[in-house]
Amino acid sequence: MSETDKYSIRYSTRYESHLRTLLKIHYKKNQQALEQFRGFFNELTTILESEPRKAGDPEPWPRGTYQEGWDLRKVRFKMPGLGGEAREGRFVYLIECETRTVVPLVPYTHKQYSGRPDALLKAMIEDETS
Amino acid sequence: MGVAFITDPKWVFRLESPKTTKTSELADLAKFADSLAFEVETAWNEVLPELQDVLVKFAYSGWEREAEPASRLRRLRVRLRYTVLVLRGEEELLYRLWNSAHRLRASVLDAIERNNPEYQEDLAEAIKDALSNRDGRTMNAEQARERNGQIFDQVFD
Repeated sequence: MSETDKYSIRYSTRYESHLRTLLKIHYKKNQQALEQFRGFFNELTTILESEPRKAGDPEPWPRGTYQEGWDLRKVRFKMPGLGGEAREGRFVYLIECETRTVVPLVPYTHKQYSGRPDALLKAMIEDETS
Repeated sequence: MGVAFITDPKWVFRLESPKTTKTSELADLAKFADSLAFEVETAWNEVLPELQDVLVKFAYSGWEREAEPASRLRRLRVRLRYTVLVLRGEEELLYRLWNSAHRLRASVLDAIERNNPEYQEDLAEAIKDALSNRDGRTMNAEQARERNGQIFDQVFD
């Protein structure tokens, strides 16, 4: 791939703030997992520069936000060192087709937007899998 | 399988805890799970509420089961059935079942996130912010990795 085929990456203050919040919530007491996550994040950055469309799947635009010429996508991954809903990591980003620019938007875990049904869940699993 | 599933939607739990080693039943189960995942991906809000309820429970059940020591015996039984499939040379069917379960779970978790008003609001604001700052500095991957490094290094300072 030539340099001109590569995509540029543009961070916003809001995105960096989302990333810091994610790290503070999940990795304050787990340095080893933090380093693993850093490694993953750097690999993802490399992929975003060369093949941003292959990195993630299309994500529906929130109502009233669609922009012609932009592509909204989401990557799903496992958060190192975390369990349960927090293990389900997500990274949503935009691609501006004309300028070949990738704009990261929000990194988060499923736990943040969970719909976990506590009532009866355990009993149902017992019942169904015994 | 479709009719059986509708009358007893809890069938979906058998994707990861099969109660049989019959090839045709397991293949039907994987096929039905794939079609269900497609329905969830394309029209979650049109899925019957009772079925939505079962699917949500299925999506969250994996972590529950992982955390539950009492389920060791159950896991052993499931592993024995998997072993039977492998010994019969049907690894592909096994992978298909796992892939179908993974796809279905991912599609349900996506649907849950998208139906959360907070998610819609946060994403809409992030998009608005990105579109209004189009003149910001762009980086190549090396520079972006450097910036990641600064964020990771300084986050707990």
